[in-house]
Parts: sequence; C-alpha cells; structure tokens
Amino acid sequence: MKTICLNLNIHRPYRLKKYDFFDIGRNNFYFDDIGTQAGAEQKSRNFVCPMLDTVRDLVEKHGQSFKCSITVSGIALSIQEKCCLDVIERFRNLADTECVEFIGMPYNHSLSALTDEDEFTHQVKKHAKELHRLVGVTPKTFRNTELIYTDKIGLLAYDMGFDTVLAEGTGPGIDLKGPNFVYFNPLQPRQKVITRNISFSRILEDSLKDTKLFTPEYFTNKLYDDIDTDDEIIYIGINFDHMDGTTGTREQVPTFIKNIIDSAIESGVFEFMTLNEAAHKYQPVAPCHVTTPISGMTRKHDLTPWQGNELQKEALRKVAALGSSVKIANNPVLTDIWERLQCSDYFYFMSTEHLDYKANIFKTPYDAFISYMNIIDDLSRRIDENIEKNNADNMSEQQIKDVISFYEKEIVSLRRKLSDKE
Amino acid sequence: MLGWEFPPHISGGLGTACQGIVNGLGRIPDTKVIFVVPKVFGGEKARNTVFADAGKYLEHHATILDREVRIVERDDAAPEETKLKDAHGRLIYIETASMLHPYMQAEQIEQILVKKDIDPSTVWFDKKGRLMATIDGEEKEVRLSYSDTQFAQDNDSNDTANEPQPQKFEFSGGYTSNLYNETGMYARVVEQLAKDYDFDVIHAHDWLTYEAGVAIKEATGKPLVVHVHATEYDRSGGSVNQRVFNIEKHGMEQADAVVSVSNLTRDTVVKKYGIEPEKVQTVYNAVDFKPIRREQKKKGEPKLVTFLGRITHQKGPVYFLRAAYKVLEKLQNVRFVMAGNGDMYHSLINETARLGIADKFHFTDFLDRNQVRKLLSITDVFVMPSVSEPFGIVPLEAAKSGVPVIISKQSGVAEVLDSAVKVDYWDDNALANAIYSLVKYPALSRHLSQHGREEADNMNWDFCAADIRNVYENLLDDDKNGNIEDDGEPAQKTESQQIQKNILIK
Repeated sequence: MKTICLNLNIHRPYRLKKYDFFDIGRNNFYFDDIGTQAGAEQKSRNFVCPMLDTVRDLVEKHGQSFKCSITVSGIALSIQEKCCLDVIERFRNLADTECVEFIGMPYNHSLSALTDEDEFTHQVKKHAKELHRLVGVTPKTFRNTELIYTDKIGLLAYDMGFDTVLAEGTGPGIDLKGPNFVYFNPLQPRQKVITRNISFSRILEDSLKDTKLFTPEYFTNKLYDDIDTDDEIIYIGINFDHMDGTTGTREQVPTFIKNIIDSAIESGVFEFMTLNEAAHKYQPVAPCHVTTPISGMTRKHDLTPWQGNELQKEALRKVAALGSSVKIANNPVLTDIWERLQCSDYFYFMSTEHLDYKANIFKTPYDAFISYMNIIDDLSRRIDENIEKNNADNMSEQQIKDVISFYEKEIVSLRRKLSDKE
Repeated sequence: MLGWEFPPHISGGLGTACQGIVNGLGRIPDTKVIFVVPKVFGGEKARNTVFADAGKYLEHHATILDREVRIVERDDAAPEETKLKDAHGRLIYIETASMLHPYMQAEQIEQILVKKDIDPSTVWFDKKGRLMATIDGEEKEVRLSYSDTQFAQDNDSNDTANEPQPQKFEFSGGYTSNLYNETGMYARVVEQLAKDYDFDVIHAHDWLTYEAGVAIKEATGKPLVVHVHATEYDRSGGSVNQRVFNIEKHGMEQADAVVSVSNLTRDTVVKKYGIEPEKVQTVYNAVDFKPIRREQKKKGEPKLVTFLGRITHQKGPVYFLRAAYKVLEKLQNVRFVMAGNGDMYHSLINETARLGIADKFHFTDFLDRNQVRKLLSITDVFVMPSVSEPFGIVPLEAAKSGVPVIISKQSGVAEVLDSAVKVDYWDDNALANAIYSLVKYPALSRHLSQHGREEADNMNWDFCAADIRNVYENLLDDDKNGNIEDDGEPAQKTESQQIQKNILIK
C-alpha cells in the first residue's frame, strides 16, 4: 500500500488600497474591506464550499479510508469569520469526523520566520489558538507560509509542539533520496519532515484550473506508472490561492477530485492518510538537511517570489523594523495592522519576475512598492504618536517589560558594535 | 505665433510659458495673436468645453493639405481658464492635426513602439494627426501617453547585476524619420494656413515649429522671431541629435531675432549655434500661479522636501536622491518626495530601496495642476537640481506658494531669483547642507519664504510680453534701429527687469 496525503491550502489576503503620497498622515485606511469581503464571499460560494462539501461526501462514502489535511491561514479564518460563517461551520464539521487534519502555520501568512523568531513564534501560536477557538482542533503538523523551510524553522516549530513539518521536495542545495519518504530534522531527530511530491501536486493543480486538461483516469494511471515500488508516501499539496473558481466550474472541479479519489481507493493500491498519521506510520529514512531557505513556489524553489529584488528586501526590512516600536506602543489596532501588513502576498506583488496573480490591483511592482512604503511611513508615524502618549506612569506591566526588553536588545547590539570597533 | 499645448497640463513646461506670453500680449492694446498649435484630434473633449462656456467665439473646421484644422476666433479674451478679464487683444486659436510631441525625443518614442511590438518603420500619421500602425492586419491608432515613458525606462533598473544586460536598442530609423518628415509636413500645413491671415511678425517656439516658422517667412517675407525655451544641449545631456541640432541652427540663422529665456541659454545659442550676439535677446519668463492656502503642520509632523519635474537626466533627480540620503543620515523627521515621471523613474525607485530609505523617500508619479498646487502647499523645501535648465518656472511657482527654494546654478531662473539657495547641481554635499539648514533653522526658511514670494509676485507675464512686443517693434522699424544690444555683451537687465526693480523699490 502506498500512502497518499492530500493537503488543501486555503489563504486569502486582505486587499490593499492604492495608498498614495497625499494619503500619508491624513488617511488611515490601508485596506479595501469591501473588496476583501466581496472577494471572499464569491470565492467561498464558488470554490471553497463546494470543495469542502466534496471532502465531506468522500468521508461519508469511504469512512476511514479517506483522509486529508487542510491548511487555512489565520487571515483567511478572520475574513471568513466576518463574512463567511458557513465556511467555518464546514471546517468544524470536518474536524468532528476526525478524518480531516488541520495544519499549523503563521497566523498572518507572513515571512516572519526569516526576520524575527519571536514574532514568528507569536504568530504560529496565535494561529493555533484561533484554530482551536473556531474549529476546535490543535494542530500537530506545521507548514510554514508558502512551504518556506529550513532546519531552523523546523526546530522552532518543534519547540511549539509540532512533531511533523512539511517541506518542498526539492530546492537549491537539497539532496534527498526522493520526495516520497519520511525524513527527520537533523537539528531535532524526533521531528519528522515530509516532502512534497512536486510533479503530482502540479498536475493536480493544473487539472483543477482546467478540468479539460487531463482526465481522472490519466491522473490515476500516472500514479500507478510513476510511483516506484519502494516509495512510501505521496504528499500532494495544492494551493487554492490562485484559483478563483471561474476556470473550473462549481460542478466540474469537485467531480474531478471525487473521481480521482474513488478510483485510487477502489484500486486497492493506495490508501489516504492525514500527514500526521503518515509521519507516525513510517520510519524516517534519512535526515533532511536544509540550510538555505527553500519554498514551494516557482521552478527555482527559493525565495525569489518574495525576496528576489531590492524593493522586496527593503519592504520586508522596513516592516520588520517596526516590530519593537509596535510592541512598545501596545495599541491593538496598530498591532493588528502591522501584523496584517506582513502577509507574504504583498511582497509577491513587488516581484519583477512577471508573476501572475489575480488579486493584484497594482499595474507594476513599482506601484505596489510605492503604495506599501507609503503605508509603512504612515503607520510608523501613528506608532510614534502612540508611544509619545504612553509614558511609564500609565503603562501596563507588560508594556514596561516590552520597553525594557527593547532597550536590552539595543544595549546588546550597541555593545556588539563597540566591541567590533575595539 | 507657433506654439504648444494651450492651456497647458504639464507644470512649468513650454505650454505654461506660451500661455503666459499670449495672455501678456493679449493685455497690450493693438496686439493680436494668432496662435497655432499642433495637436492630436479626438479624445480631448475637456479642452473644448473651456471654449464652450467662454462667451463669444467662432469655431470652424477646415482641411488643409489633407490635414484637419480647427479654428477658434475670439473677440474678447483668451480661454476662460486663464481668468483674463481685461484683455483688449484679439486671439485666434488654431489647432492643426499633428503628432508632434515637445517632451519625448523621437528615439524615445521609437523605443516605446518597439516595446509595444510595433515595427517603427511601418507607422504613419493620418490626417487627424494620429499615429497609425498596422497591427494584426488592421489599421489601429497607437496612443502615446506620458505614462508610456516608463516603458522607455533605463535598462539598468534591474538590480541583479549578473543577469545578461538587455541588448542595446538599435534605431531602425523608420519612426524617427517619419517624425522629421512630420515637422516638415506640419510646416507646409501652417504655411498654407498663413495665406489666409494677415499678420506682421512670425513667432515660433522651440525646434519643432522652427521649420514652420521659416516656411512662412519664405512664403510671406515677414520677419521671424524664434523663441528658445530649450536647446538640444539641454534636452540630450551631451549626446546631441545632429538632425535636431541642424533644425535648431537653421531656424536661428533664418530668424531675424532670437529670444532666449535666460542668459544661460543665450550663451548656448551664441557659442554652440554660432548665432550673432546682436540678434539674440534674453527675455525672462515669469510666473502666473494661484497657490492654495498652506496647510498647518501638526506638531512633530515631518518636514517635506520636494522635487517636481520629469525624472530624466536633465532634471538632476539623482543628485536630489544622493542629498536626501545624506540628510537622512543626520535627521529622521524629514521626508522627501519626487513628483513626476520619466525614463529614470524605476531605476530611482530601485535606488531608494537599495539605500534603505524608501519609507522616507516617496514617489507620486505624474501630477496634474491641482495636485501640484496641493503638493506645494504642504512642501517645506523645494529643490530643483537641474543639470541644465534654460529657465525653470516651477521654482517660481514654489516661491509664490511661500516655499523656500534651492536651485542649481545651472538654471536660468537663478539669474532672476535672488532669494533662493543656489548650488552646483553636481555638489550633493552642498545640496544636503542647504536642505539640512532649511529644515533645521526656521529663521532662514522664513526669510527665503517671505522674500522669495515677494520676488516671484513681481515677475509678471505683462513685463515679459512688453519685452517681446519691443522685439517685434524693433524688427518692424527700419534697419537703422535694428541693433538691440551692444556688441556681444551679455544681455543687460531688460526693460522688464527695470520695471520690476522699480516696483521692488516702491
């Protein structure tokens, strides 16, 4: 028996407004709430709900023989809580069947793993908490934003209780036996690493975008043909981010998925499991060494889509640099905005690699960059104003601690500079 | 008068100067202006409405040499937009179909065509002056807009140095030569047009109209004045286009008088184009700008330093960026804004990102007139670091808005605006110093703001128009009065300067 782990990823960013120079200091509205909601409603009606219903049907039909894993970002959850409660309801029902696993990730779909460990930890915990509140589950498997992974990120996740972590099956500097096995993290041998089967993930994604491209039979036949006898696990991860439900119609996509899964189960060669179950079933075959970050996007499998040019690097640098003052200001509204702005999609908009993204309102990466930096400037002014208002007399205990830890960090870095000079 | 876009929509451009001059002349009794502009017909309805609600006018269309021509004759005044109430003059405003473009160089347009996958050698102008091309077997209009210049961006905007550099663009000569033919075509249309009207002097603004001016002179024998707002040396930054140079030189040689907008430009005309100094007279531009009320800054709100102009080599945006970086090393509570578009737009955005100042250095893209007013009303320091600026009206607009001004010594406006900080464009240390001082020391900035505004308020297109009228009269008088100046001395303070001085003293 070969194990198939199907992982559906659901994420949707808040839509940004075009925020021009004249808005700075005068207008605090960075997000297009109406557009965000309308988009979310449309997508949940046309795509997410039919898809989740299909999963439910499959679970009902096959019982314990069909299982899968779902990733839903904290941002998507918060939008759905506002305007698509039926989606949350479906998540909850699926969780109750115990055939569907929910996976952990940074709440804001952010790149914080690359910039700030504390913030990263905070966001992952926040996501787990929200997942528990809304869906009633505690995630055990971790999938970082866009499958961005290094050994270090795995270790951080392990420290938060994730015994399984997901990674891309290939990337620069990756040397593995193949994607279809369970590995372990060299920094923490108890943590299992499951690597994505890129070719099947792509074929499935493409066929969902255009259901006329392949037949379900083609897909299952290819599974028989391409899987080696000693392969153990086939992790197929697909993104819903870039599908808007217009290409594959409401009926076609679910039917397609149903057909594939029915025929795979009926063949008797494949079984379906959640990623966490599969990680426990199989022994790791080798360590998975990843020192430079890999990702699940583009053919290069590196960070180019979000950190490929100077614009993106500057934007991430500047948003991350606001972290310490946001904590001192301790204003929930500003903190929320700052966290939202870390969403990886906004950096993706600034890519000069001519990537396609439907939710992008910006004509050029330069427009996206200018608008984003204008927002950062405005936000930093609001934060500074807030800090001025606060002083030690009316600070909470936590705020005082934050201020102390901020200056402690400053002192450490200044000492380092001093010793460098000596 | 052969001029440009009117009313203008580019801040401080050639159109602004033409508008000022026409309005000024309109206020002088017994002066009539026939104003001819090349323009693309269609899609410009907003301008027609300006005429529609502006009282008595007569409008008719004609076709000359297969080109459409629109003629608007007005008895009372220039277009309403100029708020001209006391005009005695009579204006005839004529638009002839043509796709001539004062700000884009031919090569640039050709480059845009290539980016749009259009073979430049296959395009042509139709009788409405539209640029046409055959795309997929169909004849279609090619629309060129200011935002198109971003296609013509620098190739070095890509920060990854390891990638192979895109191939240097090679000119096929197709569109470019069409454009030069177009200046000739335009000249023939205007020459035909001139036969229907009675006038005494021909006045042509900048090189695209020189040929037309010369053609009319040859046909009618009337004296020709060419008005040099910029030369090919200013526009090209050294790599002079020989054809344009030739057209300019020919126009200046054929002219009976050459008007330059500053002594700086006069020098270029005399030295680089070899024009007899006696023939060249400086008439400074003026400013007609209605500022809006300055916005009160909140306590602790950052100071704003503004660059406003095309983002091209000629305007020196790089020096502004370098100075900004140096200022930001010392001061945090200051912001920089670069308003405009141009071929260096994207590479400068990349540069701010690379320097890590992008959260304090903002870009606005192209701004319309109202946005310019708005921007100047919140600006604390205005900078024009032009490498080569024949005049520069925008600093005067800033001064009128009460903004302290820093200008490069390589600008014509530096000759007339005393209450401004003047630096060499290449000296970004001096520029950074000046910005720092104006941001930090309110006394200095108050002084410049107050006196700069007074000076700018005294620069009036009426003086400029009076000088131009003098030039006309000297030409129309007999040759014995012909010499305007002493042998080759740089132009002395002209009459308008004298009048302005008088007013200043009062």
